[in-house]
Amino acid sequence: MSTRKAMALAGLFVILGAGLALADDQAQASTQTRARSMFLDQNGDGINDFQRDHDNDGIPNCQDPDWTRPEDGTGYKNRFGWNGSDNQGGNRKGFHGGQEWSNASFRHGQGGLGGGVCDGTGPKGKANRKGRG
Amino acid sequence: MKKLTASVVLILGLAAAGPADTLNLSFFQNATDNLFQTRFAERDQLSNVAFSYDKAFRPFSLFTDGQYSYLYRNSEVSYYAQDLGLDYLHSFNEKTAFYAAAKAGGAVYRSDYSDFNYLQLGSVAAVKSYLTPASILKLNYAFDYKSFRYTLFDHHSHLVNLSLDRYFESRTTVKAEAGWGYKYFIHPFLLSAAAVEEPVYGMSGNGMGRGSGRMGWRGGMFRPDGSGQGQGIQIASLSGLIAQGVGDWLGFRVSAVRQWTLTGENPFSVIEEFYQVENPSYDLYSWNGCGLSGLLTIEGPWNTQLKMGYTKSLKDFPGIEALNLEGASVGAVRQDRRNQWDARLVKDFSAFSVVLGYSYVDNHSNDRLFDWRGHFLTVGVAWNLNWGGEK
Repeated sequence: MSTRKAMALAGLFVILGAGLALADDQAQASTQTRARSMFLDQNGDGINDFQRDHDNDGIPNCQDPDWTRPEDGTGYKNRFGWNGSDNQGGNRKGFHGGQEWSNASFRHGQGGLGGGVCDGTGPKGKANRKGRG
Repeated sequence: MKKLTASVVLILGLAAAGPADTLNLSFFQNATDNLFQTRFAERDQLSNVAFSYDKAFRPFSLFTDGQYSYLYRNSEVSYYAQDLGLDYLHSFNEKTAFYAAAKAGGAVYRSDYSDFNYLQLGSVAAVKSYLTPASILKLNYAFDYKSFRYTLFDHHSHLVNLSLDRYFESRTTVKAEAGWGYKYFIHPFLLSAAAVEEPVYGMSGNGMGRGSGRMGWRGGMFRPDGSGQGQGIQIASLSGLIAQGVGDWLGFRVSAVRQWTLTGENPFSVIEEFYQVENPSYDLYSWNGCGLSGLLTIEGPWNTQLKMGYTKSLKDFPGIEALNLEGASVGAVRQDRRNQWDARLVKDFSAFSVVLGYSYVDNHSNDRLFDWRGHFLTVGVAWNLNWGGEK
């Protein structure tokens, strides 16, 4: 193979590689943009779940080991818990935009729609116990 | 007080026993001016210490909850409740998962309430699926069996719920849920047996149960005519919810529920609700009617959250005759109309949360005993302790 042909082939690989890398970056950006624009409200209070309890397990983000505190100076309440090192989140956390399946989230979500400040601390029921069916 | 100390020691012992994934400890102090929720209001305070422990062995998880509640003026109604269970999670793919749990538990009350000591077996199975990234379909089944010291309350129940949640980018949430349930009292009520076995609580000489701190003030929990024999109660319900977020910090919610009694009726002579103390005569199956609720949530600065809610409900209690204060029938089924206001403020710190709650209830009933009002105040602190990183 002549030097000229080898250089042309190498150039082709560089261009192809750069194109694939760019496409992957765009796909990741697209995934993160989709997640960041997503609104999930499983406790039905009108506030995005990522705001306070990103995985709906009843533990506030600031006390939850599953919560990744953003390193961008925005504090605990910055939504989604996606930082620069969590690029695998799109695969691991998957379709539902940042929430991972967990036993606790199922256990915590056994209650119905209810009414009022429906957290077990009201006049009825046995105080402070998480619903477990 | 000894039991309270024992509970604290137990909790600290569990905390020190070894690595756990999640341990939640809480202490709540509650006060009310109407513990037994009747027109003859009685003040009391309750101290509640509780723990909740989770240990994950993926895909399984072991969990246990315990709580001790001490009542200051009615200390003979104090109780300890404990349960232990195992749950299992299997995700078919990133959209759909199956969850199952089984648990055993029980509650032990002091002397005034010891007939309602119970052992419990329960299980839950659920399938949850993300139809789209913003639509969740969930099917839930719950089985419950309770065996009481006073065996006429023994029952098992089955509850099925199907719900669909839809979230919109406009920060709007729409939820719809349908439910069906069946509760069966295992032992047929026999008048002759009940006459011998049924405990007779009641007035302690100061009239209409005022200050007696006892349940069943009219003498006997089951109907004396024996008409509620060993029956099942079947219910169905529909409920819906619409919530709207305004910015990141404000949320509104309106929800409504309608419940029907399809078959059966309460076998009791009276239905009672006590503050923070479970009463076996009242649960999801004891009523039909409707409710409407509104809730305002504010995410405040410094990790604070304020919730303010109002609930209006209209409930009929099938099989329960409304009585006047002399104990004579008014010729109608008991019907309650309730207005309830709630406020709850939570401040999260990095290791614990502080909670302050207040509720006011205004209950109107055609059974004059249950025409009551009450204030309920709660102050508490909850710790979430985690080991082992990922839950």
